[in-house]
Amino acid sequence: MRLVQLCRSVSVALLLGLAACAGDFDTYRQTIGEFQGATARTSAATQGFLLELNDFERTVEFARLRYDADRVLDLERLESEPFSPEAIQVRVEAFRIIESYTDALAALAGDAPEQEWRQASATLGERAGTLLTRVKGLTGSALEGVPDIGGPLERLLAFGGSQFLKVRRSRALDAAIEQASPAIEQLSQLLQADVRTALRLRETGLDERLSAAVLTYRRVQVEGPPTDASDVKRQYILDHLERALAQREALTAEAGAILATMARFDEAHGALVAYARSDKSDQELSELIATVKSYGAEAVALYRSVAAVGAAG
Amino acid sequence: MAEVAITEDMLQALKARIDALNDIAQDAATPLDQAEAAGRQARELRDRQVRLEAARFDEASADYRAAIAELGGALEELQEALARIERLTEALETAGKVLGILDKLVKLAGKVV
Repeated sequence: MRLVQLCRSVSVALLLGLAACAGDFDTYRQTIGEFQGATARTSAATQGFLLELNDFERTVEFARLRYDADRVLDLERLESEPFSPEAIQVRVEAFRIIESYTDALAALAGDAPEQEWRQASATLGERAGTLLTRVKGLTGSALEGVPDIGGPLERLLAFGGSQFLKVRRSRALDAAIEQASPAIEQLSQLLQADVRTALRLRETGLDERLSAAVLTYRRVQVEGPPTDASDVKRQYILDHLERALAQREALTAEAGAILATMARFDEAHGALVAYARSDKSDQELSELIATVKSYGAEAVALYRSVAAVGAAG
Repeated sequence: MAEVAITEDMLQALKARIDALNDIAQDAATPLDQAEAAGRQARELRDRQVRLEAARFDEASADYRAAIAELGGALEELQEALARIERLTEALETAGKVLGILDKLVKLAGKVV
């Protein structure tokens, strides 16, 4: 009887220890899930910006041909790709591997194996209960007074097993986040530099189009009194000017949102690393949750705005 | 001739120069001939901007490849950790099966007793 009590006390103490270690794991798991979702959205919204570098340069050349009647139509120039497809592919790979990394983190934090374990331990508990009943039946009065522990044991095992797995998962996550951290930081910096490249080129490209429209309009005005032909030309230029101004406005908003979301990614990733290295206090967990939530909200807004711009053509 | 690294500051300064020329070209107060000349200069500078940005873009590919390889290594270890957790779950299931066998043994013992 004393032995049974001792075993139960030791088990409960062990389980409480495990529970303390893994107490906030469910929240941590959800936060990693949010980080994964936000990164997938950021990646989807940002990739287009880099993949379309050559397409954008083509639109600049078309605009030059429209506004400069003397410009030679060079098909080779129109088909040229100043940004090598191999270099662009490397950026695609960078996005893919960051997404694979966050997917793997979410899988490691995921709860499917714990559910399996809960099922397995339920069966285990039932069997232990049956075993005890049989032992009691065999030994008769020797185990009188020992309560039927089948149900409590089942719950204890289910709790203990899942807490144990949570601790293992938490440690594995800490190690993975720590190890990947320098590469993730570097890739994020490189991608942000590329987004700034795309942004600089789009701004000067759109500005060139605006300059061409303004100058052509002025030239039409000074070339003589208005005629039907010059009026058609003027209207055509004004339509282009209006579109170019709208595009520049949209670009400023989109680029600002992309860079802000990428900066939030850095903050959220930094918070994940800090949490992995920390002693996992409630305060540290709260800071992680707040930072990742803020990143998640920014990523959702970015994704929606890019999707809306895409839908509007 | 020594190679000069293309820095972001350099590219930003070039863009600022193109912006200034476009401002002149778009300003209605600038005489048309001067405005057109500024527009032409902005276009010429932009062609160089594209070449320089593309060269920096290509150069950075090596840094990308190194970081991707490093992250790939971390990802492999992450997959191994995931596999270890799955193996652990299987081990716990096996423990349940062992207890089931014991249960059967007890049942048999009961018949013997």
